[in-house]
Amino acid sequence: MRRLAKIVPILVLCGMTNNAWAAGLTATIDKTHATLEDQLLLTLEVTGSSRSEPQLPALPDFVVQSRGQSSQVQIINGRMRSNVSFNYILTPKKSGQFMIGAARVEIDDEVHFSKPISIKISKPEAIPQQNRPAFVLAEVNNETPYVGEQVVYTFRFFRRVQIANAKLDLPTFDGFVIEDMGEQREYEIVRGGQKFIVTDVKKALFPQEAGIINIPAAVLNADIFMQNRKRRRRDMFDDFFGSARGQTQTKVLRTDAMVLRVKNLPVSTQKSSGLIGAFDIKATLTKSQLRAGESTTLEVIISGVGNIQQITKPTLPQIKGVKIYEDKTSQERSMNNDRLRGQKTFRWAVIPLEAGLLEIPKLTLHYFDVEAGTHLTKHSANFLLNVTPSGEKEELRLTTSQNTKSAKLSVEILGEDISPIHEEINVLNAPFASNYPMALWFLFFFSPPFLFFGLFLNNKRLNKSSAERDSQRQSKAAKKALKRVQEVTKAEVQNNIELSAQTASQLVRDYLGDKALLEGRALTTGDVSKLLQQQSIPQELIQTIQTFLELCDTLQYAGRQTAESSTLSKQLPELIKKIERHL
Amino acid sequence: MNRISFITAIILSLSLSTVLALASENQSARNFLEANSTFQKGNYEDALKQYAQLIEKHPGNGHLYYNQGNTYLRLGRLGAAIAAYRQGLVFLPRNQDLKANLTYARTLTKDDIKPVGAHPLVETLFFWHYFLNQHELVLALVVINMLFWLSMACRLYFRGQRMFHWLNVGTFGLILAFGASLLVHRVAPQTIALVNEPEIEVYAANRVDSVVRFKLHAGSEVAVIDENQNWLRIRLDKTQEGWLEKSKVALVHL
Repeated sequence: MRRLAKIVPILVLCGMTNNAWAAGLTATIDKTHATLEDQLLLTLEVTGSSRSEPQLPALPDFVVQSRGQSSQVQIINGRMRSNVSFNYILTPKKSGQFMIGAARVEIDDEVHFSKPISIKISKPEAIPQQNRPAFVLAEVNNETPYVGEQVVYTFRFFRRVQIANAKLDLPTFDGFVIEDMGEQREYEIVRGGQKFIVTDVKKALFPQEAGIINIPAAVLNADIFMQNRKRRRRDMFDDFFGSARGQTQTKVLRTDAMVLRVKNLPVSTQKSSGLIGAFDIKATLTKSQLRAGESTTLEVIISGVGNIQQITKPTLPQIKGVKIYEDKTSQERSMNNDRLRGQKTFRWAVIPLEAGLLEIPKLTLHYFDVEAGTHLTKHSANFLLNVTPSGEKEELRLTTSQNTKSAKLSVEILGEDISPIHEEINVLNAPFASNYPMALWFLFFFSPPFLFFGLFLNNKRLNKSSAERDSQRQSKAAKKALKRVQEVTKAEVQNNIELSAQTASQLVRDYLGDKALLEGRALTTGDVSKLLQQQSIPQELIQTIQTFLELCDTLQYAGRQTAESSTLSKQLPELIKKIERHL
Repeated sequence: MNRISFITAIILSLSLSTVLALASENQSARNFLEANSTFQKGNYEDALKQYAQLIEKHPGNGHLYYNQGNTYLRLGRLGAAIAAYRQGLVFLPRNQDLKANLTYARTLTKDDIKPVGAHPLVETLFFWHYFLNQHELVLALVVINMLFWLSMACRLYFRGQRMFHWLNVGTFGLILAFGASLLVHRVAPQTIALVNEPEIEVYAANRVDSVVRFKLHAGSEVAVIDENQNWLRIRLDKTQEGWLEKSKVALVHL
């Protein structure tokens, strides 16, 4: 227990020592003395549990670029140590003695600061240009131009060693209109006995206002292969291709800043067109002999060297009796001997409306000639139009549209709003389902089926009574017929053969009619035969009935007395019973 | 004497009820004119109250909903305006003013949501369901029902007449179509919710502490698929669903 009491404070002390050693921020720089052409590598190393980026101090005299981070974990004597390094490239803007202040980082709620570093930035060594491996120059062809006069800015990069990753930042050229002068040009030159490769980048600048305009320095960043001045023996650690004889350095090359004194143009009595350089104006007409209503094209070309972007369309004066329509404009531009050269072509369709001799007056161009140092005026040619009368009324065609379809305009929606409220008082009386009680709808809906069922039942009842009557007629047919046999007997007793035959015939027909639910007396002998056949009566019985009816007919119409004439009443009951058995 | 008194009482009560009904109609007409006048003067809040009172008396009048929708729109209450227009269309399904104002109001909404409604093909196929209001459907059903039973009766007396047979089949089909449409309106009306506030949140569950799935803005129309106390479960499209607070939307039963 006492031994444990001694060990614990030692362990705690070790732990505290470990923590105090682990957390911290260290700033290091690769060199404390450099030139304006050099870049410096600032490394901030954070040791401890934090991986957050430290806060850099203000560095107004440097351009700061982050170059990423790297982390490292070390285990020494069983103790782990981790650190994160943040790298920054510092590019000095000017020479002098500078202090890189303390960077700041927060680790485990504790703020840590790095130690400030003092560095000295000096101007590049005053080495003659021909002795340098690479250098840059910038120049303008005219340091005192007029407002709007073209100035050629040239950036030149001289080098006699290998370079890589070149990056050029040209100045912004505030106060100028800039025109590109094409691709960069590369050529070789001998300077001070040394052969250099030169790359030219050119811009055409047009100052926009009088006064002093500064052109800041152009900056070129490049990795330059520097050869060691002193040769030394190759040792076994040099690589096979001898990289030990030189090394790559990132250099920042700057041109000198320039100052331009821009002059105002001399005062002129003419209205200035803003054109500066050497210009010309020419005009052509496609035809000068034409009829009224016909068209001719006037073409005006303004060409020259200078600020051709300032060329504007000349104003054609109003010509009485002539309609003028503007046509398309075209432009051409090129670089010739570092001067911007070009032309603009303007066209008009000229249509005389009446016959006669018409004049298209000359057009005027004012510009400032730099070489002469004065304002100049140039004119185009004037033209005379000989207009003969037209056979048709061309004037009308000029004022009417050729294409009626294209003359129509699509309807443009000028505003959107809602339709107004409904104000008619009768909208309150509009019929709606909820205005009527539900019972009324049910009454309307269910009354028709009730009515139908009433009709249906009545119809059924009527059909039923009719069937009953038919059934009774059929069942009582035999009885009724047998009852009438007495009438036949009576006629026989009275020896009235015709009457007995007529009654017997009617009796049989009535009987068959009752059975078939037909009017019996209307049946002929043939009808009776067909009817019985339909009822599946044996052929023999049908024959018997047919023979009986023929006998009756014979007795009735012939009036002859035979042996059979007095037996009709006796045959009848038997015949009816036979039929009754089959129907 | 008793019989004379009874008849007199009936006549008096009928006359009184007629007089009361006419007086009520006159009062409604006066209120309607007054509400319109208030609207025209630009006093939209008061006009809104007056239209609401009229709608209470005439709940099936689409013109009143139309005027109410216009008033809401003038007040900048887009959700309520669209709700009023859609409710008005239930009663006036072919009214062009209603359709035009509804279309205009929908152009003012922020959310790019397709309004709740049937596909145009479905609307064409079942045109009577979408182009007739319930009153017209009931009226048509009653007339067609009468024709059906009349044709049935004719078949009792004119047996074998094919014309009555086909009339019977045709009217029966129409009864089924119009009856089904009315049944859908009455039994299973579609409910839509219209966002009545500038912006509301739609939650994953019916609790304010649940995840906010998306937000809707004034005037957006969504289909209601379920209701749980003060919460509505809504469907944005075939996949997006969520819960929103009932108090923040206006409901319309189509």
